Amino acid sequence: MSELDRREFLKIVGLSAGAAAAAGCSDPAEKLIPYVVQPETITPGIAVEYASTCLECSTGCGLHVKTREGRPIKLEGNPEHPINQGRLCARGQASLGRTYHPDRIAGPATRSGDGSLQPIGWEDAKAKLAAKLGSAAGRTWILGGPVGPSLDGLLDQVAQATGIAGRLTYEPFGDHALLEASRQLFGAYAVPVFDLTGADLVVDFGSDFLDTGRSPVEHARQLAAGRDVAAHANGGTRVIAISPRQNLTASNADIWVPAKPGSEGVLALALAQAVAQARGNATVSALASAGSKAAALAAAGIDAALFDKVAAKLAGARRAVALPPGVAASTTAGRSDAAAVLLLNAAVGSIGTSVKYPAADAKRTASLADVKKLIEKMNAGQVECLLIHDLNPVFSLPTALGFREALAKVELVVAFAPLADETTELANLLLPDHTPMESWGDASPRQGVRSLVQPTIRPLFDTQAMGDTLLAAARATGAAGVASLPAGSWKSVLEANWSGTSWRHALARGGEFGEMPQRSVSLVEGLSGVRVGAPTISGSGDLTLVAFPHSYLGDGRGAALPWNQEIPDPVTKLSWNSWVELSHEKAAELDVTLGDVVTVATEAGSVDVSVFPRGGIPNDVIAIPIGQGHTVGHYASRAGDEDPQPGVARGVNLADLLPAATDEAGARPSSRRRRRSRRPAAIAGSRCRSGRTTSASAVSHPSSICTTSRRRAASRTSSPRRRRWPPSTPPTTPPITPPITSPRRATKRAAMEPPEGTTSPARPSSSTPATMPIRISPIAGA
Amino acid sequence: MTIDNDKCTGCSACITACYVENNVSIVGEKQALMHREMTWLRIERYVGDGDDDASLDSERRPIPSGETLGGTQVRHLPMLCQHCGAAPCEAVCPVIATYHNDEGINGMVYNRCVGTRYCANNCTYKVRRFNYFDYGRKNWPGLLGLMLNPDVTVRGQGVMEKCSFCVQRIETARQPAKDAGKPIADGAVKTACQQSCPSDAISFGNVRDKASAPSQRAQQGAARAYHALQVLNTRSAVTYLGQVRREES
Repeated sequence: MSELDRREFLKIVGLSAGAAAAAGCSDPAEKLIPYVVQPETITPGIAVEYASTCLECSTGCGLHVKTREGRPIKLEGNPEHPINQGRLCARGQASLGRTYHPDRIAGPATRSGDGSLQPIGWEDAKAKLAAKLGSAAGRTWILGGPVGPSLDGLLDQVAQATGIAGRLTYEPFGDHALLEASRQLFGAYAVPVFDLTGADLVVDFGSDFLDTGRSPVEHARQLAAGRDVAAHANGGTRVIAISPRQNLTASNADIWVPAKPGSEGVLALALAQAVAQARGNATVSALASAGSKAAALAAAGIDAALFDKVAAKLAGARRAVALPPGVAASTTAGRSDAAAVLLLNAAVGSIGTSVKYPAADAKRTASLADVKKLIEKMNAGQVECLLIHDLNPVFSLPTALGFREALAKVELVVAFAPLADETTELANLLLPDHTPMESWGDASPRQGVRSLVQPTIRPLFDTQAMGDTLLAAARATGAAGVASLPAGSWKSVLEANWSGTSWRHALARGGEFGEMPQRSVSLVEGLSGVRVGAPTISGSGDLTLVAFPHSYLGDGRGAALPWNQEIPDPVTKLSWNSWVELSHEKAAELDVTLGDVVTVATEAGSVDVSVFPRGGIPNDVIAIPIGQGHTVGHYASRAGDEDPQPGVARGVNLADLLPAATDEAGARPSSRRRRRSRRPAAIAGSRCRSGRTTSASAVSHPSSICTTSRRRAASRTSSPRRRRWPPSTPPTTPPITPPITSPRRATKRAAMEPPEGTTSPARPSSSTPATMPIRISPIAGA
Repeated sequence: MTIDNDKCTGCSACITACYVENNVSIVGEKQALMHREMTWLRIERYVGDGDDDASLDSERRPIPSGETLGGTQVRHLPMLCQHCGAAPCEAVCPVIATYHNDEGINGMVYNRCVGTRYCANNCTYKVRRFNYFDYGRKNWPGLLGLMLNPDVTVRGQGVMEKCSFCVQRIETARQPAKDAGKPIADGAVKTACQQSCPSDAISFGNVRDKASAPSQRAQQGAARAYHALQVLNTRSAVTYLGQVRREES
């Protein structure tokens, strides 16, 4: 036995201790590399901010991206930007996570026959696309979401140079109805800017302008300034919200008119008529002659006193603004609804003052009808290659349209999305784009305001800007028109588009912010009277379904971000799942209680969703938020849950319930017509599923509702003996919200009495017809 | 801090801003169902007149029922750590992990905290959050950890946490002020919630300085100023300005 000397012994012990320490350490080894040559702009520990633009929705707010050591860590509003003036909404804040998201597609890939992804190099990937563009350009289509003006121009150029058959820009929450209505009334094909500054009355026809409206940050700021009690002794701007469901705007409104879904247009026309007569505006009165108070009262289910009150406020207002319906209130009568609201604005004289039209016309974008035509072409085998960017059509298009099935008939589906989603799962060729924080770009939220997007981090993955990918692929086709393409990279194209300005100055400020050149509009000569048809409500059930956009999820693109899931919805305080809102009375009638799972069926399909009974919704209306129901994604689906269930949807996708209906834009307003289908729409009674969490979860905010797994288990085991809700209270008098903590007392005490003095709440009577067809909100089609 | 409830619309931009700024963990659906969310700032929504005889369901959970059709008696109250002058949480901490500094901030020393949760138990406002699991390590999959704010500690398992009034932002402003030999100027520190608020409902500053923005706003709105649960005399540092009702609805 050899002698083990002291030195040898220490060596062995030291080595094994080191190995044990390495094995026991769960964190991967990381190298800390000091700056050898320190970048000039970076001081470790000091944040550097870059101006950029938020691309999370189409509002186009300015950003200051706060970076530390080359990594964006926080997004804040750009104080110089005219739209958000330094503020940023919840969705904008959350968009930081996109760049670092676990769903990022690591690099270009092709899908092999068995459905698995094979990574390929960028050169091969672009050659593949170029080969297809070269051989079948006439059978190639581009389908995408809205992009900035420079990228939009480049896409058009590429489409033209390579001879691509067509390009559709489709925004699920687009403003088609409003555009068509503007053209009908004023001959201006443009989205007006609704300026609430200086307004003393804002009437919202279901656009939910404080939450999911056209420019929520801007409008919230303008309203807060207009309601500042320090500056306005009389309390400032009054808000009247017209919405079947108590949304965030109705929660903040002074008067809430719980009009029946689909009655916004009829109500607006009757109000326009009443206000025009009161103000002696003969032109508008003649145009709104079809508006009748009796018809409006019947359609909206409100009492005459409430109508008169709203009409009197509008007639007496110094400056009133009426906001046309948004997504939640979009119906098959979308254009005439918007036209009636614009007419109401004309009646109160706010066109040109608070409703400002930009000088230039809007670019025509695709409507749902155009997408339908494309799907027909795909089904007929006329589309060989489809390029999809900035859009998740497999998720967001109504399932009834059959986009998924049509996509299977396309030989090459190219997806540019940086994050995996339902569409990239079906694509054959993935050419991942940078995220907005890694790429160059621009946005033009309104005429006169140009906003730049600049990269604030080196691309984390093997991605390439879509502009560069398409330029390279187009050049490689060698088509005749390619010579007309701009030289250089996507960035140089962008710089060329900004050539009239100081690039460095624009980059530092975040863009070029000027006044919007306004056009003076007036009602078109010889306009025939505006008529509002009742929306076509399909189905024959006794409940009307309102599909409203979720506060943070938008059309579903926000569902990938963890904060959007975790932070409770501002009205219901529910998180991480879908829910169906229905009234307490209806819940009692159906014998369901909070968290019970019901089946909601329309003629297009059915979903299982948990119940959220509340007082802020009429008995014959149910409401489900849009945005959940993804089957792909770490946070969007259940793939990243504590007990991971890849491929299982989180919540329900409203696309499964909505028919492929479009509104009447471009045609005469439809007459009053209700189509009834044979299949009844129904809410089946309480039904709980085992194994899968289908209930909406709630965060324990004092005013929130909570449904726990325990509760579901209880109602499972005691299924024969269903609980009645409420236990002892008669259904007509819902009990008062009981907050857990008692700051309520302090709030109550300190709540300031209004100058006029408070009276007991006047409840508008809502007549409840025995049967009411299921009412569908098609996603802004045309 | 002064919060004008009349301006707050409840949009929740402040909550997301707080999550991102302060590395607040996402806990996921299962944990959220067990009320283990980590939010430092929540917006309480009160509906109706808030009578005490509200009925509770069998599990003593509140049912939202103050809502009436056409009723607009909704109030939004952003609730965060009130940084009480006489804080109930501080007195019960056995290890002095939560303490009061001379600027009036109720601080948390994470590495002192042993997780007794006495402080959360004693907190009047229920704003303290406990890390039941190692959310900070588990819940930032992939590269999401790169997005964490390096100025804010990622809290480990067994540690209590709560709103710090964005103390890291105060510290960032302190050094330049010190270099200039002046106190931190009013408006030099904007908390994350205040910065994001679209309706400018939140103002933050030195409440002892009568000329500071929060003091000014509290004085201007003196008729509707109150502290949450002021009857308990916690000497809260947050002044709320009550909501104004403009219409008899």
